[in-house]
Amino acid sequence: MTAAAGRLTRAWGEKNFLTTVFGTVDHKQIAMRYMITAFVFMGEAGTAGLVMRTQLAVPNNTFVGPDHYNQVFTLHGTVMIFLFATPLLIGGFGNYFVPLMIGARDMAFPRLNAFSYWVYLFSGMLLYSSFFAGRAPNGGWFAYVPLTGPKYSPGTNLDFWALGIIFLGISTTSGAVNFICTIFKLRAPGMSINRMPLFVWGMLVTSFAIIFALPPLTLGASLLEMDRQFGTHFFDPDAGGNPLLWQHLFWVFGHPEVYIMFLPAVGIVSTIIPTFCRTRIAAYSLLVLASVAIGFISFGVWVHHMFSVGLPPLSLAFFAAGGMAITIPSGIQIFAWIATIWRGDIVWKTPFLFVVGFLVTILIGGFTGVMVTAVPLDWQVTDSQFIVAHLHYVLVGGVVLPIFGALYYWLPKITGRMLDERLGQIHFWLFFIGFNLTFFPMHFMGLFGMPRRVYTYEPDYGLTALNLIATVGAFMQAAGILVFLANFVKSMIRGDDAGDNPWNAGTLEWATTSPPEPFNFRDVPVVASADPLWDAPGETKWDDRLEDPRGGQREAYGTSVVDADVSEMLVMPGPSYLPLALALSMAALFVGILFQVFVVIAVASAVGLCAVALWFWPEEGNGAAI
Amino acid sequence: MSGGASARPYPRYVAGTRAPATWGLFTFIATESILFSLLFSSYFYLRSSATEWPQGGIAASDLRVPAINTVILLASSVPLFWAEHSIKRGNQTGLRVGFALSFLLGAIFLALQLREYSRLPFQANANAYASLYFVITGFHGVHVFVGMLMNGMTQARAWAGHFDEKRYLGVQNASWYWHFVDVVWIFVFAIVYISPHVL
Amino acid sequence: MTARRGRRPVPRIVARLMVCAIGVLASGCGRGMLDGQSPQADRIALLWWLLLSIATVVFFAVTALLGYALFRRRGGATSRFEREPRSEMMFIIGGGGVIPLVLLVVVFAATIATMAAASNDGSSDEMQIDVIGHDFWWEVRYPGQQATAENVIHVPVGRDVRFNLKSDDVIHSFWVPQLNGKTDMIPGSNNSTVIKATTAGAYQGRCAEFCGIGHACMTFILVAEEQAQFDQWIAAQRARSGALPDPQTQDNGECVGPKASGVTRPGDAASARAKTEGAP
Ligand code: HEA
Ligand code: HEA
Ligand code: CUA
Ligand SMILES: [Cu+2]
Repeated sequence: MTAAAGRLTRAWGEKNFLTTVFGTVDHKQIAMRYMITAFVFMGEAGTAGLVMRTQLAVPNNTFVGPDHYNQVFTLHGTVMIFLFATPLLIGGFGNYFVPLMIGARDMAFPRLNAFSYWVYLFSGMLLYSSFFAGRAPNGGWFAYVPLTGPKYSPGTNLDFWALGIIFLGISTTSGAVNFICTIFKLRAPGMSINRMPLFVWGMLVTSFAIIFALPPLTLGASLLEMDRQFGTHFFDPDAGGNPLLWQHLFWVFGHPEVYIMFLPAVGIVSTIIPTFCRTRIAAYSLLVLASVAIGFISFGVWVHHMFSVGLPPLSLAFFAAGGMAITIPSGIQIFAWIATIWRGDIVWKTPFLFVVGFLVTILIGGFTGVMVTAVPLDWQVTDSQFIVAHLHYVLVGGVVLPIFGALYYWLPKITGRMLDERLGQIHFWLFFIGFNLTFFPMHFMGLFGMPRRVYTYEPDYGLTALNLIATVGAFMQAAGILVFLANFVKSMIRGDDAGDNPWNAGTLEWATTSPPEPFNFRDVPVVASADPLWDAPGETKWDDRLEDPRGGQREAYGTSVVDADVSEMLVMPGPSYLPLALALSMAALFVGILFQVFVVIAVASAVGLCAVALWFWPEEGNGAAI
Repeated sequence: MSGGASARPYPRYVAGTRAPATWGLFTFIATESILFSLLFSSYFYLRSSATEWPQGGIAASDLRVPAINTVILLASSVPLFWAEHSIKRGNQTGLRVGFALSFLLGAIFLALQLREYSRLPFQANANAYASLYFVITGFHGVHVFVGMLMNGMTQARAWAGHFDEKRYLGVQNASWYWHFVDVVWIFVFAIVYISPHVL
Repeated sequence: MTARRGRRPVPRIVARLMVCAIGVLASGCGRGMLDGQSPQADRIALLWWLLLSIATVVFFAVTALLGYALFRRRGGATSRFEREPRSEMMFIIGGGGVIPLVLLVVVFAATIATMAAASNDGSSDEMQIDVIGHDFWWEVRYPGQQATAENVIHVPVGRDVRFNLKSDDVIHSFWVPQLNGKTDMIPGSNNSTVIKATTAGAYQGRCAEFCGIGHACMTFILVAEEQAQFDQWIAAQRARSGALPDPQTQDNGECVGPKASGVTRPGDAASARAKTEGAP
């Protein structure tokens, strides 16, 4: 038995320190890097949030001036969406837990996975370097032209933004490709598509949404960059372009993007609820359908971000109806969760607390969403603080609360140590109350006429008190997060041992050690239900044929797409520096484009092409080639 | 637990939809198709709000060279079918010649495109039409170039003996990508070259 | 005006807070969109109250269900994996699908009706005013009357006024919360909106689309007054030689004069007039 583990470790483990740091392709290592990086970005963007709240605490404040304020909210929005929430959910949780939940040994393309991370890191650094150069982007997170075009934003601020976004898109897209292939081809034998955990379903739908939603963003940002650097006229009304083209391209991406963050979060909720209610999820197939439906409909509602640009009433009505249609699958989800709770036998632990907080806040955020799909009401509240309230209720309440829940739930698996319950509850209450204090008053600010993206306001008509409350709430949220950090440190120093399955959960990630070995599972699970660990003993079988890797290679089963019958042997690649080399050369390429240094562009392209060539050149004895 | 060197009853080398890499290629092609369709939509979006098209007194493109180019590019797919067919029977020569022929046709296509560019009386910065013209055809050209790189890579691997009648996944994916680039050209030709004449 | 905006004694802030607390639902404080002074704004406010009522009822109903599910007494040993598919499915589909669908039909109908009313075509004798957005000021023109103004718009009370909205540089958005929703001003295209102020007074208007460093300061005052006064004003504006750039922002983006993001109450005509007379 230990001999088998030893053999597997020799095949799957890291060889030495250098390969571990720069060459690892282990999805768990990569996922942890994603999580830490995303959290650093959250700290920075959250601090930006505190800066904004401090500036807005009292009227006519002079803490930061308008120029600075514009950079701060642009960075805050961009970083929170692109560098915190999306990568944390997909690159972090998805990367760590999808292979474990489906009983796989790694992602389908481990080196591509490493590449995604490096690109994410470098594009994030590119975006952030602008801040330290004092040239942070300042056109808002949706960067409307002509304001962001060459004429009205002549500096390099917006070039950082556009190039950073294009670069990051490469990471997100390759991540999505990887997830689709992993989920389609690497599921444990017997895990037919109707036995897949709901979190995996969420990741699958999200990955498809990325495949279809990222191109408009990439295209839009490329056209913008060409307008800015090469004098094209896509968005220039004086030479036949149209600024509204940008808005369409951005929101065809932007609306699905919010569900790209929301669907994995929903998957987390559907994972935590059954565990802490000690019962199977109610209406599994309806929940799957709901996710798929939301994914689909989300591509047909982008115009609801453009209700006031003067479109014909008929198309306004159409897109209003589309937005309202999303309510139905959302309602199904809510009621399925309530039914599960109803049926269940509740264990009140921190992860569950965060999920209950989520359920309450997503109702409020969802309802304000429905309110703003009512076109004439949107004419009044759009671009006001009311929208800021809506977007934080759904993003912080609907995405960040599940993220915290997931951290309390899954960190024991990652670190092998439990987090402290009492600190966890303090964290929850501080954050939950602080969050509501911050964002609930913003509804009223909007109704009373306070627009968004203004660096100050007049001491009049109740705005003062509301803003002050919001600021106090923001600092409470920060305190909550600090408690979480303390909790984490404490658990690393002297947390209780987690054991394999501390929550008595039903999905496969709990069938292995905490933290898992590099090869995840010694034997391959052969699954017979949706919650294999809750089955009667013996129902889930373990296939031990891969215990002795042939020639020390990283072997895995490839299974069929629908029924997950084993159909072929796969051999996975080992550690490699190529992903890092390619990502670095691409980073250099983008920097070259940013400053228009053609030598850099040429050298970087050459190096990049070499890296690709080597990448596709199969290693000896390892035919893992494409 | 027996561990040990138990049998591996499953095939090691697969192609088609059984290989994860094929799904990777499919999803990649899906995302690229979206990118191209959005470029085309942008073309019609800007056109729909324009008073004249092409703008700024530019004449609609001359169709002769693009038509020849269309034939060349479509023809370049044929040797790839043949190459794929050959390697599935272990015919290495057919594989190499097929890829080489296709590469050559791709190169001629690109050369003719570049010649077209050099003769145009306008630049990408003239107006929105010109920008679209250059970006759509240029973007497609980049894809042809990438396809040729993949072609060269496959050629090199063929010489290194990476392929035989069981192992031809790389061949299959390189040629499928090329077919995709071909199909996109049909749309580019119809939209950028023909539509200003007929619509 | 500056005096009124000066430091406010603390007790008044406390009082205001209390008024806010009570008056939040009745919009006792703030002079925003809920305190409409035109048929358009009134209709939208009505829609708001409808949506708010539905949302409130559904919110409390759903949280009550959730609360019951969480805290209900569990009878003895739980039947962990037993399912009751029929009743459970009915609960999920009925509560999450059917009831919302019915409510949404209502919401959609109300939306369409309000849309028609709030974006009405105006009447045949509507008055035309051109407003052009600039970084960061408003150019106002009265076509056919050779009158111009900057950052202040006068309209006759009780009359349909069509605003033809354009932009000279980036996208701005025209918004007078008490009179109607926003309409974007987009370079290269023409938008318009109709407003009919039913009460005389000065209304705070402002730019709602982020337009750069001076966005926070890009405000204007809309004065609705009796026809006679309006004619007088027009006559005075006619004597000028056209609109002159009057940015409300200094080079560092700070506002010139008061940073008016708040909203003015209808009675503030006097302060608005002060601003008008100050203008060249
Ligand atoms: C995770 C992110 C997330 C989620 C889930 C949502 C969910 C929804 N959003 Fe939101 N939205 C954003 C993130 C999100 N949004 C962001 C970031 C912006 C601002 C972008 C910017 O401008 O910066 C935005 C802006 C935004 C706008 C544009 C406003 C404007 O700029 O003028 C609109 C307009 O229609 C809208 C609508 C909706 C709707 C209808 C939903 C629906 O999906 C909600 C559905 C859910 C429910 C309704 C609750 C559960 C249902 C029931 C319990 C059934 C019973 C209910 C009823 C009968 C009503 N959103
Ligand atoms: C996931 C997305 C997300 C999240 C989580 C948040 C979280 C927060 N947001 Fe953000 N916000 C957006 C997405 C998000 N926001 C978007 C998209 C916009 C629109 C931007 C635009 O208009 O372009 C916006 C806009 C926005 C505004 C409006 C700006 C304006 O229009 O004028 C404000 C103002 O109060 C605000 C505040 C906050 C606050 C206080 C938090 C708090 O919840 C933050 C809490 C977190 C912290 C306080 C961090 C604490 C961390 C530590 C203490 C540890 C430190 C560690 C290290 C440094 C390593 N946000
Ligand atoms: Cu003009 Cu904001
Ligand atoms: Cu949306």
